[in-house]
Amino acid sequence: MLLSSITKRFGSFTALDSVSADFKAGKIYIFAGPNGAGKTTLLRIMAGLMRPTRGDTLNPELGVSPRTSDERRMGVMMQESYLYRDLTPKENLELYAGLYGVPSSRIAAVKDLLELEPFFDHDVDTLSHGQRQRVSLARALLPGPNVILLDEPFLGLDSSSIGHVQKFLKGFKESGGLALIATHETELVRELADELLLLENGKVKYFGTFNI
Amino acid sequence: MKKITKVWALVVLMLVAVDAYLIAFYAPVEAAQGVAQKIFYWHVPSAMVMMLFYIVGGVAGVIYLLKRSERADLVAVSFIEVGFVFCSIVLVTGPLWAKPIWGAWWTWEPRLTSTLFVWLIFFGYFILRNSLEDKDDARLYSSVLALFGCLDIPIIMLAVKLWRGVHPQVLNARSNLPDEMWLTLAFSAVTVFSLALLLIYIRYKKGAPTLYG
Amino acid sequence: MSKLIALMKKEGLLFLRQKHLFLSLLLFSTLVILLIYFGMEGMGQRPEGVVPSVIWLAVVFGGTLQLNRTYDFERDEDVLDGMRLIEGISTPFYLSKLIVNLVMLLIITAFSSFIAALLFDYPLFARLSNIVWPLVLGVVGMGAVGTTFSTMVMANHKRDILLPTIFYPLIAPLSVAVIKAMQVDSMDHVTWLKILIAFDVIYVTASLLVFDRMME
Repeated sequence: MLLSSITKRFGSFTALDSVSADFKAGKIYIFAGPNGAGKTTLLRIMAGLMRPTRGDTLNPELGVSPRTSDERRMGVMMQESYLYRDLTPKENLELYAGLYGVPSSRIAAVKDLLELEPFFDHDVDTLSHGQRQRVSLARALLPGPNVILLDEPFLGLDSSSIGHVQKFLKGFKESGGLALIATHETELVRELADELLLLENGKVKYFGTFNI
Repeated sequence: MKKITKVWALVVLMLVAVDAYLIAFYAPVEAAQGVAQKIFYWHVPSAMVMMLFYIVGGVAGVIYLLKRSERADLVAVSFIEVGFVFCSIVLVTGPLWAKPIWGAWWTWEPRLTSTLFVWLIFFGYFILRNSLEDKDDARLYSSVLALFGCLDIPIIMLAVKLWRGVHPQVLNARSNLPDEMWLTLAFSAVTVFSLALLLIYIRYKKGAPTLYG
Repeated sequence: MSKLIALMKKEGLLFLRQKHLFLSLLLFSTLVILLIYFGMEGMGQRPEGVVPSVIWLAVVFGGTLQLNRTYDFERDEDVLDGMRLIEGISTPFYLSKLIVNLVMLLIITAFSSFIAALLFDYPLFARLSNIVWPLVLGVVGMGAVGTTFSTMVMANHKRDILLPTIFYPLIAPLSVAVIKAMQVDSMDHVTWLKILIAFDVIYVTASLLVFDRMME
């Protein structure tokens, strides 16, 4: 996946300034930088939730930036879980499976992958933050994407959930997937990360091998 | 103020002065209604400006919806704002005209009633625009509202006409107007339009510095 | 289409979780009718012709509350962003919300009709053919505009005030058409129905067209 001079302005505030990068399959990229550096904005643009003021995202297989991440074959997991609180994980995943047009076998697959069975029939409202994020990840994986975008996936997670996510990321990378993760918790991804994109004030300060 | 604005404003001022003279002295006093009828010289052109400007504003809004051009949105809001001013003028001059003649300020006369509905719709336009913090949302949603408003205008006029009966025979059919009245009306129309266009220009220029990209 | 089914299933589940709220809406409409009844104290015999208007007013006020609730479930956890990730979601999503609102509004209408007929001693079934179509068409128009505008104000704190302010002026002429259609017979009745249909066509079509843009 390619970023070509992505610029985003909100009024007079420039959130991203000509960000360009090239991401390859089978690798994990970490987006890092201080708060307000533009990591979340960049992810949102790549996910298709926001339009850049200038620039393009390109997926070489699919051609020039189709609008939605569905079309881009991406899984997206942001800090909000995108789940209905009044429904159970099961009901939420059934909804998204129906919307993505994937068979219900996918639901069982992601459920097993992230071990959601213990709380599969409890209202999302009653789940811990970590459990909710795992369900959100399951939702993101429903369409079987080979590119995933994660925004602070480890934030507020208990150690068991952290383990689940790490285990999943390892398997994902090994099967040739591309993961783009914005996070502050660089120690948690040290073993998995391949490259680092460091943002500061909307500009790329460093893009290369991860060796923190 | 830039030079062109000053010159234009001066021209408008002169037009208004001549127009005032024409209305006061040149146009004859209408037999049945007396002096009050002279309000019509500004009432009617204001209604025309309002209608035209709302439609232009609505179309510009649609262009914004399609092309995301902030320039189009600025054009839209300029036309709608000035249109709203003239809409208000229609709603004020209407009762001023009605009271001496029919004895009541508001008589639910079809065209004025339609104008009232339209005024309320576009009042909502400004409320919506100012209530949304995200400026892109504000432009997007107010353009949608303007679209609904403009699409509504013909149906509102039809519905209200049906509801209240036809516009009373104040004009005694256009062809019966004496020449002096026609001339005064035409001149007033020119004056009102010039003023309106000046206001648009000023409004657009005021908003232009905020355009980017 | 399959997206619409998935969404409707979701709406159904959510409705069942919150049915008590809907019952409050029905109660609210009843209270509106009661207030109007008391407000007409001193009129002597309350004229039969006023009942259709009373029904419509109860529908408008109760309906506004319902419309404000349209996105109550989507507000937490940014669910709408999750929806926006999906290709071709706008139209099914709008339709799902519209259908829910229309069903709720129609239930409110039916309920209000019974209550008004009861309190005002109005021969509802005798007059049914005269009032049913205007009410249904009015509800469709109101639902279409209301759902669209509810989307606009969804995130705003002041949406309780904002929604009526921008939306009532658009349904005011619609209301004139509804009430006139309910009051007159034969030829005029048909004319008013045609006007109502015109409103509905415009509102639904415009809503479908702009909703796509609004979801972005």
